[in-house]
Formats: sequence, C-alpha cells, structure tokens
Amino acid sequence: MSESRSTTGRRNPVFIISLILVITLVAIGFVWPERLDRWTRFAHGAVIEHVGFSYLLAAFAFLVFCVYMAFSRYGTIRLGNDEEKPQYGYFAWFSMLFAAGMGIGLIFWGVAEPLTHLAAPPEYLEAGGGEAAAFAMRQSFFHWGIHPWAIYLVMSLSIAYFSFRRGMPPLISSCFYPLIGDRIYRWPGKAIDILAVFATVFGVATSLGLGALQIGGGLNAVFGVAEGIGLTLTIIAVVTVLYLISSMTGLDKGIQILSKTNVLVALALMTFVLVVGPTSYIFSIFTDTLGQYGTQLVSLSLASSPFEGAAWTQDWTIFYWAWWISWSPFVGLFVASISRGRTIREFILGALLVPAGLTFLWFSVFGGAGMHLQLHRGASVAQSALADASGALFEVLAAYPLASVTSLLSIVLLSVFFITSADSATFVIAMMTSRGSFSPPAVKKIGWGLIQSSAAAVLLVSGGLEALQRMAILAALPFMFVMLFMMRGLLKALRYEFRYERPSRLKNRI
Amino acid sequence: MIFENVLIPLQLNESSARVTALADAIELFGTTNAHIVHVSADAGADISTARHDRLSALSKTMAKNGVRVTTEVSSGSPAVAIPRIAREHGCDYIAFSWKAKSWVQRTLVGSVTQDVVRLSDIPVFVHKRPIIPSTESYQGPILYATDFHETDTLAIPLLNDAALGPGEVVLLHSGERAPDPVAEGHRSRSVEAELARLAAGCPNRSVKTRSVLGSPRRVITAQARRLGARLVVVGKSNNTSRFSSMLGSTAEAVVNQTSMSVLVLSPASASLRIATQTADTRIAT
Repeated sequence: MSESRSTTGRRNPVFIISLILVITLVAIGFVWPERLDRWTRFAHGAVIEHVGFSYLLAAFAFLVFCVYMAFSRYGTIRLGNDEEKPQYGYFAWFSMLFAAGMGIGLIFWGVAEPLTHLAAPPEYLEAGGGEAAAFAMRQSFFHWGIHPWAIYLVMSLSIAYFSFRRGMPPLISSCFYPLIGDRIYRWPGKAIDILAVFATVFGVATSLGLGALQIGGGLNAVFGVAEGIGLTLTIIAVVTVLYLISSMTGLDKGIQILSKTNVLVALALMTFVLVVGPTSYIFSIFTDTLGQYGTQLVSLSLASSPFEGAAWTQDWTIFYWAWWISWSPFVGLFVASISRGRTIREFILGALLVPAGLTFLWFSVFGGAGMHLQLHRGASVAQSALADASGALFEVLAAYPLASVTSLLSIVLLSVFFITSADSATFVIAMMTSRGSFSPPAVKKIGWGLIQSSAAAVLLVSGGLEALQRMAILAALPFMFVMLFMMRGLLKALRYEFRYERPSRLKNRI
Repeated sequence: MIFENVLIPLQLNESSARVTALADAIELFGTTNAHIVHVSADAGADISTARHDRLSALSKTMAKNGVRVTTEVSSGSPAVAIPRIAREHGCDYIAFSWKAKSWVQRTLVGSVTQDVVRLSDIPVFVHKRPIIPSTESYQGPILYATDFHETDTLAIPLLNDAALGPGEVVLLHSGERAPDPVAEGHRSRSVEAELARLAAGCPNRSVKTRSVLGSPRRVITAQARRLGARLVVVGKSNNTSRFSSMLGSTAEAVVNQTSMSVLVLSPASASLRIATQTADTRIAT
C-alpha cells in the first residue's frame, strides 16, 4: 500500500476518524470548556469510584503476565527472526525506554510526589510524621516502579511479537489476529486503533500543556521571567518546533541522541544532588524503601483500601494506573519499535528492572533531599509541593549549592524530555494512522505534531486542559480490556508457535 | 474385526428397552462376544438373588442378536474396575448405556462413564440414541472429529463400513487460528489436504469435510447438534494440557454435552492396531 493512498480518508478510516474526533473534542473544549469539564468530571469520578478496583486487578495481572512470560519457555522467543540481533545497544535502548516512558513525569514528580504524600497522607496517618514519610517513599516507588512498565510491556511485547516475528503491521489491532482473525481489517480492528490514537493524542496534549506550565515555573524561579499565558504559549511554540525537527530526523538520530544526552544529564544531576545532599540519609531511604517495596509488593498491588484511605487510593494509585494504561498505546508502540531483535526474556527483564531501578534511585535522591529539608532542616517544602507541585523541584534545588546551575540544568532536562516524549508520540501517532508504516510520511508527522501542540495551547487558554486529561484517563477503561485480550491473544499465538511451528514438533502436524 | 469383543458394564437398574437398544448398536460394530459385568461398590462379589436374576435377564436380552454373552460380578471402584476387567478379558471396547444426569448430579455424584472415558486405554462407546433410527426419512450423518492423529487408523475403516447404515460421513477438524494471516493460510491449506486424504480412505461413503476454527469441545458439540449427527466419533488426545485436564478432556465434554451416541477412540488402541497391521504385513511377506 503506498503512502499517498494511505493518506486518503476513504482508504484509511483510522486517520480520518481520529482526526475528526480529535478536532471535534478540542473544539468542544475551546467553545464550552465548563460543560466539557462538568461531563468529564462526572464520568471520570464515576469510573474511578466504581470500577477503580479493576485497574488494580488488571495492573497486577499485567505484572504477573510479564513475570510468567520472562521465566516461562516463551522467554527464549526472539522478537524478530531467530538469527536477528538487537537493533540498538543497551545504553541507547535504556535511554529511549526511559525517555519515552517516564522522563518528564519523573522530573515533575521526583520531588513533588514524596513531599505531597508527606504533607497529605491518607487520614489514618499523621501528616508530616515518620510513618507518613515511609508511606510517601513507598507509594512513590510503587506508583513509578515496575507496575507502569508491566502495563507498557503487555502492549509493547504483543506489538513487537506480531509485527517483528509474525510480519504484521505494528498496530494494536494486529495483536488481535489470533482472536478475531480477518476482522482486524474491519471495524473491530479500526475501532481499537482509533481508540489508541485518541488516548495518545489527548494524553500527550495534556502532558505538553502541563509540562509547559512547569518549564514556565522553572524559568520564573531561575530568571524571574513573569509567568503567564504568553510565556506558556511561547514555550509550547518553541518546543513544538524543536520536536518537529527531531521527529523529521527519525529514530536513529533525533530521539536516540536526545534520549542518550538527557539520561547522561539526568545521571549527572542526580549524582550532584546525591553528593552535595544528605548522602547517607538518601542511601538509607533507598535501602529501607526498597525493602518495604519488595516485601509488600503483592499487598500494595491489591490495596484498594475499602475501609480507610479509599479516597486517597482513588486519587493517586488508581489515577496513576489509569494514566499509565492510557499512555500504553503510545509508549507500547514506541518501545516495541526500538526493541526488535531482543528475546522476550531480555526484553521484559531489561524494560522492567532497569528503568524501575533508575526511578527508585531518582526518587530516593530527590525525594530524600526534599524529606531531609522538611524533616531535619525546618523547611516547609512539603506544603509548597502540596500547593504547587511544578515548583517543588526548584525549591529543593535552591537549598543546595549551585542552585541556579542545577535549576537551569533541570529546565533543559525537562525541555529535552518534553521534546523526546512529544517526538516519539508524533512518530507513533503518524505510524498508527499510516497503517503501521515504520516510515510514516513527513506531512503526517508534522500534521499530528501541530494538532497536539495546538490542542494543548487552545485548551490552556480556554481552561479545558484538565478535562482533556480526564478524557484520556476515561479511554483507559476500554483500553484495560483491550490489553487483557491482548494477553490472551499473545498467549494463544505463542502456544501455537510452540505446538506447531517449532522444528522438533513439525512432524507432519498441523 | 476391530470391535469383536465388548465389555458392557451394567448397574442392573437399566430397562430392558435400553439394553435391547444397546444390543442393536453393538451389532453394527460387528461385535460377536459380549462380557457383561456388574461392579458393586460393596466389598465382596456377592449380590442378592433378585439382582442375580436381573443380570441373567439382561444377559438374555443382550444375546438376542446371536452375540455370545458371558457375565461377571465384581467389586470395587467401578471406574477403576471396568477398564481393568476389559483389559483382562481382551475386550476391544467398552459399551455403556447412557443415563442422562444433570450438571449438579454429575458434579456432586460424578459419572462412571465419564471416568471410564478418561481412564480407559481402549475405545468407549456411549449409547444414547439408536445409530440407525427406525424412521427412514432421518438421514443424519456420522460425524468424525479428527486431529489427524493415530485414532484415524481405527476410525476410517469403521466409518467406511456399510454396517453403520446409510448416509454420509462428515470429517470435522477444529483447531486454533494461526497467529498471522500467512501462517493461517498455510494451516488452512494443510488441514484441507489432510481432510481430503482421510476422505479418500472412505470410498464406500459420501464424505464431506469441514474445518472450523475454535475450541474442539465447543466446535464438536455445536457441529453435531447443527448437523443432527446420529453418531459422533471422537479421538482422545494424549497431549492434554494441565489446564485442560482440570476442565476434562474434549472427549469427556463431547460425551456429556451431546445428545447423540458417541464413540471415543483411544490413541493406545490405535497404536496397537498399527503395530498389529505392521506385524501381519511382515508375516505375509
């Protein structure tokens, strides 16, 4: 199928319907922001409150599935031909995994989340106390640990298997071939792909908007630039130009170079804070929280808190799980696209453990530094984080040497992670709306990039950005079921491969 | 003959009509010797005079078609004793007269027939409805569900035998869809070729072939119902996964869920037949 034919609406309903849907909802958000806010608040509240437990169950099921896949006989299967070698080296692979999956969120929440939990824990804990501090660190590890990666991996493993090993287009609908056969080419398959584009565009647009606000906050903290809608729109415009340039250069150059650079900068910043900060205190927090996380993994995974702390769990854990699921089409497709040639075992263990390990260190260093200020040096950073999460990082950095340099470095880090996320999202959306082509047309990448940024800008101005975020989270509910069926489809396919296609079992059997 | 000797377990509460219908059915398989066994769960092999008289009466009913009948009373667990006795007497298959049980009865009390289907190494015939109905207008086919394994060597000569009455044979294969369109095309073509090869082994019959995607237990029962089959022949698989074992085998499910008579073939007896044929060929040469 030629690229030009794929851009015509009649032959590519995923593209045209996604485009209409996105533009319509952004228009509603611009014209009637209050109504959109009211509707989405109602729907979002109902989903989180009434079916929130299902997110906990599903996320735990995804984790168990990943562990099973890694250690079962299926772990030896290569995501590609049997003789194929990995396309990217370990450092490039881990850097891109990290940049796409966590990057910007980690910079935003690395300090803010532990401090917010310290200041506002569930009602059964005393705010600011020792138990609340342990709880804050444990929950931060939990929310950013192996569960998000398990969610992403279910998606990316399925896509990588069906596209690299089975020769199908890298689309979410391809993973359903063992279950629904040729119907993946008709409406059931198209609906899944449209839902994926919808969740990705809105997820990335809201992240762009919120990320721009944080960069604005950072510029204000470092250079005293006046915050306002003009500054935020300028940031969005500059970042858009940069990520479109990066997107044009393709995976092999743009995203890879930026991701590697950024991980190096992040490691440098983390090492600096570790050295100038309360080093032994940070290591102590890391060790203690890792132990708690490891021993309580199952109980944390299924803690729906029906008796006390239910509202807290809904506001944080269930919100996160829904958010990770809504991001999974984007991150899943991107991670799949950079993981060709790895075995299932290597893919799962690498993507599950290495980014999670780095995340734990990051939370221990930045969260630990913030905790030390709050609990031992009399600063009130926790209350500030509770009031404005985007400024927490800069407030903590201000308490340590070379604050202007580290803050500037953080802004650069934030901006580059911002660019890599938006860049990979643009690539993925263009791929999804080009029938899974690994070389989507440039015009489509630019088009989706501009739509994402325009959506973020328009909704920032009108005040409909949070409504859009809630819509992305609402899309997570159907996607949770999509992912559960993906696991079933992948297991069926792997079982078929082992039973009928492995050389030792080929003896005239069908 | 491959179904010459049969073991017929009776609980002695079967009606004469049911035993007569079973006698008519086993005659179609060319059976000449029937060993009727009553297995009592109580210790000792003694039974009351009334039950002894009942066993004699049912034996006479069974012998009405000229089948040579012997009887035996045994004790112990029926599901274990029946396959053992069949083995000791060199029976070619075991035939049951089916008494329907509800799902609750099957779950709570269990089913000897179902247990024997699982435990037996020889074919098990479960008679539910006459294989050749009295109404001539009824032309339901014989359905053979194949997974292209050893049991084909037992099933194909039997299906080709005119004694099983007129009407067509449907060869059914059900399997899972391959993971991608190319592999699925290959799988589908291979299945069609295998079905055509089996169909060529039944020259005396009109044969239709069907390949249906899905779980065998669901597909076989649904197809048997849809086609109005008068006999379902199904092979037992040795390659049952642990999860499937918990749910029961496909053969057990077909026995439970279809309303027509079912013949379950086992791979062990098929292997034995292949070995015997090979030995015969060697002796002949």
